[in-house]
Amino acid sequence: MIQYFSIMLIAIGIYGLLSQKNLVKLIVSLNIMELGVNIFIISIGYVADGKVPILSPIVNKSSMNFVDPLPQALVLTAIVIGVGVTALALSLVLKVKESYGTIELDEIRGDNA
Amino acid sequence: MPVEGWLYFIVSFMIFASIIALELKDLLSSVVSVGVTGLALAVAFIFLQAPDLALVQFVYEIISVIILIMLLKATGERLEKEKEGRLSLSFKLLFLVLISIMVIPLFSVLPEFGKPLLDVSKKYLANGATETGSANLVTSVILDYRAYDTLGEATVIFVSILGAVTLLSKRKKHEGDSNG
Repeated sequence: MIQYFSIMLIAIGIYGLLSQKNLVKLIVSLNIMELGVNIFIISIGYVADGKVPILSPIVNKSSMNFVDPLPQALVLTAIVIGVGVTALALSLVLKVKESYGTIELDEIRGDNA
Repeated sequence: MPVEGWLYFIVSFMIFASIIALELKDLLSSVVSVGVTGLALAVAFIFLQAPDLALVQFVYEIISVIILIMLLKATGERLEKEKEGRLSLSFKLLFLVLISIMVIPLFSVLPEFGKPLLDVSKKYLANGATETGSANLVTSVILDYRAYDTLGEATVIFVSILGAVTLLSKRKKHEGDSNG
């Protein structure tokens, strides 16, 4: 059920990408989609009453009930890449603002049709 | 209170904050709202037993909010312009409900929440500590079993930094030309 909630977060992001005209708002909706995907993947790997997958002298190995470490490792990569994408997109927005004087998509089209 | 209850609360809060981020006309408030969504995700990661991810999400969400605010400062844009023919509220709700209904078949395929398949990870959990010598099994996956993924991540970060630096340095040269 928690996965259903994260799908709703992704749906809000898709809706933002389709409806918004402002470039900053588009990047914001891309960010929201990314957050939704991340929590979706992590919630798939959650084990009920699971523990953090870190071994320590306290953790008894026979009663091992760790959560899945694989989605965590992959999402760790995805978070970092998401910020890289945001930074690149923002520098593109800066170039758009410089060339057209606006960050509204329909005004960009109107000036140079 | 069980973990699931807290998760429902936090994810509902995230949905609420992201709707606010999309609906506000003030761009700065919108950026701050998406930052709030990301920090709530960091808390959700702690409830999902992923402290490494919570730390990384916390740091990178703050970085992305900072660069978004720097962009707003550089462009000088503060308010989104009012547009004609915006979609009505009923249409928005219809869209959300439609997408939510479309994904229902997905849940017959997915494993239930709290009962994952753990096909691949069984090996990592059993042999991770002895094979890689790492107490943190997430680290053993990142840096040993899936090290090529991390190499690819470093490549993506390098390329995106290269692209951003190229775009931003050209801008400075252009400004110098127009001034001189």
